[in-house]
Amino acid sequence: MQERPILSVKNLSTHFKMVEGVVKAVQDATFDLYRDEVLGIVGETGSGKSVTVKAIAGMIDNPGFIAGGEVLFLTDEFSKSGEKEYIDLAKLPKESFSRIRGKHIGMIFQDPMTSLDPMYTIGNQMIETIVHHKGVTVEEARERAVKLLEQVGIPKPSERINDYPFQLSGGQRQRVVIAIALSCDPDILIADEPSTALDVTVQAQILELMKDLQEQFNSSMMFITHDMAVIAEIATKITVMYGSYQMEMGQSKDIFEHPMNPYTYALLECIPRLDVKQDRLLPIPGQPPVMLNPPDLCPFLPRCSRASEKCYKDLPQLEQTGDSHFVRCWNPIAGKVKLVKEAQG
Amino acid sequence: MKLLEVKNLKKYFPIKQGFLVERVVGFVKAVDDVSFSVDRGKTIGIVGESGCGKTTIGKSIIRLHEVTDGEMLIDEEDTTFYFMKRKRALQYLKSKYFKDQDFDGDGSGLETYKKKIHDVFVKSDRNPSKTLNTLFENLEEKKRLLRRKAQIVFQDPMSSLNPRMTVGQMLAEPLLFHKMAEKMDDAIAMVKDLLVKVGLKAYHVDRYPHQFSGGQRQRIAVARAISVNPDLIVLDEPTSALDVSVQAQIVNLFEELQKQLNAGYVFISHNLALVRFICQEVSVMYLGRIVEQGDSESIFAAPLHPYTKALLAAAPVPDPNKKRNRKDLIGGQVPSPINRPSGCFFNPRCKYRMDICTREYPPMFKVDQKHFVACHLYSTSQEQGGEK
Repeated sequence: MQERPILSVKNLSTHFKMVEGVVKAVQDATFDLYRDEVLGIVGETGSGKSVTVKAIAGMIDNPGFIAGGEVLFLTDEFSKSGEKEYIDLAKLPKESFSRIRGKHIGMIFQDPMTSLDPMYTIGNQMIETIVHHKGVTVEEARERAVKLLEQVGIPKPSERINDYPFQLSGGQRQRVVIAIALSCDPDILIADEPSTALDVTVQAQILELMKDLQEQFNSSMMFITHDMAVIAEIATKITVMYGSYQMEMGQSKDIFEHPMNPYTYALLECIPRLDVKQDRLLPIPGQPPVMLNPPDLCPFLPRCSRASEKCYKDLPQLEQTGDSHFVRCWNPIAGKVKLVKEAQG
Repeated sequence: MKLLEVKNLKKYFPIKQGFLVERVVGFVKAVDDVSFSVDRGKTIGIVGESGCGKTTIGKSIIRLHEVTDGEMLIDEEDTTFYFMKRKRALQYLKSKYFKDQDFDGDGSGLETYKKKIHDVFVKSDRNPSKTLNTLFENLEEKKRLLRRKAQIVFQDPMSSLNPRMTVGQMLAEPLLFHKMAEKMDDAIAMVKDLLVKVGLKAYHVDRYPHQFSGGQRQRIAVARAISVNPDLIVLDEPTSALDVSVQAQIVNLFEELQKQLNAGYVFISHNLALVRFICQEVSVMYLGRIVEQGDSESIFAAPLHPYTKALLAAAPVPDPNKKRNRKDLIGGQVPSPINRPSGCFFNPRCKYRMDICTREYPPMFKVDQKHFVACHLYSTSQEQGGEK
């Protein structure tokens, strides 16, 4: 790709200072996000996927802090000449963030009931956002809000706009949250487990909607989930996180067809699949790592089947192995690997 | 011999309204006319979206709820009335065995019900109430036995384990209660064996739940369930609070334990892939009723009910090359269980809706030896299943 990435994260680390010690939630996160790309961040509980995007959106509060790295975001918001330039979000003061968040970065969270205010109608909440960021009149904002609700598939939007969140179902609430996130034509849409709290049939609706809207609005998206199946569905590029580190990053196909990191491979082996009949799941032995004062070694080491002596000495770096395929491992799996799916019968 | 037989199970929750004086204004029909059975060593799955009544079934089986109607037989023994108040239990037994009029009547149907009593209770006794009373003999012991036979593992181990008890105390309690161990020391020794059996270490016996990770906690919950050698274990979303890498460990543990105990499992889940992996038989539920029932392979390979098709089409598959079958996807959401649609509950969302669907709830049609579906689409070509 020739164009400049819209977001370029370099060696981003986020730590939390606790009484017991320092929790290193995210270490050394590095990735680029281009226009039209959907970057999927997948990982287990506590792997640091949510903290990564929260750090990008300036939502890390005490006792957390950004311990290092850069978050370069391409925008014309602060430029005097009107040209787009990179600003470092990691160093941006908290007050200035309100000019970025909601306007250039839209966010969708897991539970729509907690991201919507139960005391205000959904119309109120949408109009507030639009007026604040776009500087239009309330009437214009209302018109736009109705149009947005229609786009996200809410029936009779001009009536439903006066509803309170509790009058909507879970799926509809999530649609409203998506509408608010899109209300100011953001450059990046960050979705943090947007479909996890929903039922499967509704989840499918929301995922289809997000795919359609992403194409329509021509924005980039960062999609966080713990579900490998959901990520396969929506992401063009995937980064796999484990124990605060990015273990592997690459195009969606590469990750699923030839995973190079033993963790990614093991993860794909242990998920039950709907499309194939399996005789046995191959679990990963051991427990997920504890994030308090971890050693500077590969976090997967205690559970890894390919561990060698070198693994116990140094932490591997995220290295490029192929065309846009990065892996953090001393003993990556080489060549194409046969996964369960090919044993289909 | 069937381990568990559930017949026409109903559980309605009353909706009460009013200040000071409460009136029942309606019912949430959480489970409505559900029948299924479980064999020893087999796993049956119950799948459905939230609010379809799958957890209510699980809780009814182990009697955390008193059921509204229906029968539950464990090892062919009627256990339905065990936890009812005596008056209600008598009512239930009378209505089951004597059909209203001939019991309290003037004696016209006396001969028939005497015969019935004889058939049912073998013992011939002049006084039917006395015969009924024999069913209540040793009820405490029977209850205890039932509690031992049927166990449950809940979704969230953090809320199902007592945070103020050590693992040893928690696991010793059922052993002492069911007299499987005489003294605390014996019980603790048994607990240590149990812990090893579920993949933990014997020295974990003195720890508290908060000292474990999520997967380990679920292992403790499993150890508690299997400690009393149950025949039936209800698994209510046992892995949905766990990470996938740990989920596989727990699932494999269930399979191993099933071989050892020869227990029957009722596996309740919304995760279709997991159900396909673990269950031999599956029941798909929608709004409190079973819409499709059959052996796992035929349901997943050839789903019949439009709702099952939609569920399978909606479930994401971990393969970027596989595109979702958009044709079977459905819009809308599950209607309220208080105010259910007329006719087939699924008809407002169904693509194949016919006139009859808005008028009548379809009965279970038998399409195959082991495959039943409640949908009018299969009424013409197929013979009706009858009693299921």
